[in-house]
Amino acid sequence: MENRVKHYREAQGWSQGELARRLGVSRQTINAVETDKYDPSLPLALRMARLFAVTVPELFIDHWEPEA
Amino acid sequence: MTKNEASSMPRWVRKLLIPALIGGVIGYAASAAMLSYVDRAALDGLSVSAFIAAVVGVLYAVIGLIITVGTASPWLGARFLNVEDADELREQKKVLTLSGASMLLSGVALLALALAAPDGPVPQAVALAVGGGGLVVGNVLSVLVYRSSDELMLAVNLEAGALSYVLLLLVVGLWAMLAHLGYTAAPAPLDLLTLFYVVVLLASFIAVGRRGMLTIR
Repeated sequence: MENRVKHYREAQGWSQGELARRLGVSRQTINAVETDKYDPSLPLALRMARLFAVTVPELFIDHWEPEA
Repeated sequence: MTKNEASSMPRWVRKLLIPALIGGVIGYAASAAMLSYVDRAALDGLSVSAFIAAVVGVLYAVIGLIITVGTASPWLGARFLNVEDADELREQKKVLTLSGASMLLSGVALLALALAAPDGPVPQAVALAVGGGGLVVGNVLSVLVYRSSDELMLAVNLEAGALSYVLLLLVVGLWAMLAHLGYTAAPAPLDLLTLFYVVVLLASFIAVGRRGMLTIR
């Protein structure tokens, strides 16, 4: 799923390691999320959004539209 | 070698070529040491199954050793393990140490079983103790790794487990089917053990690769 984690992380001036430390996950997890290789769990997505002071849909972009 | 010289080296050399060379040298040295320790004639009687099992056991042990050494010395490990820097190894010390030990023990276990009497030089009781002990302790360590993993590694573990099941069903199932119909010999117990090891390693590489974790960093 397309996301803006890297954008918000860099805006804070944090390295992947720093963000990983703040979220209690490994750097590889942050790297995998940023490179779109892994969709985080709902709790982790919520924590990321809270850390960046944005909403989850601002952080993770889903282009799905419900059928009319 | 100075720090500048190390950093000017292409990443694929540091992260791919050097680990492969280290693994080759360690594997060769371990094999040579073993051959000098045991009676060479005793190894000549090994079946193809036992030989393949021994090679796979050494492969596991070498990978486990490289991880263990790299984690014990993050400064050194950062030069040949696929991490950003030594701090990443320090952050992952618990998981990597347990993983390395688990692989090392599992490899030694398979090696002991491959070299067991009557074809090999290791007495059966010793092979059973090392094989069974290594397998049990290695798996207990794997459980500890699982419990210490973050959500990405949990996902990778689960994916590798599911893939292992499918691959085992495919390979062992097909082999059993052919044996049942008389087209080939049934798999020997040691072949099955070796297949478990190979399939788990293969599935792990696939699962890890799908998450982009094999990309050289």
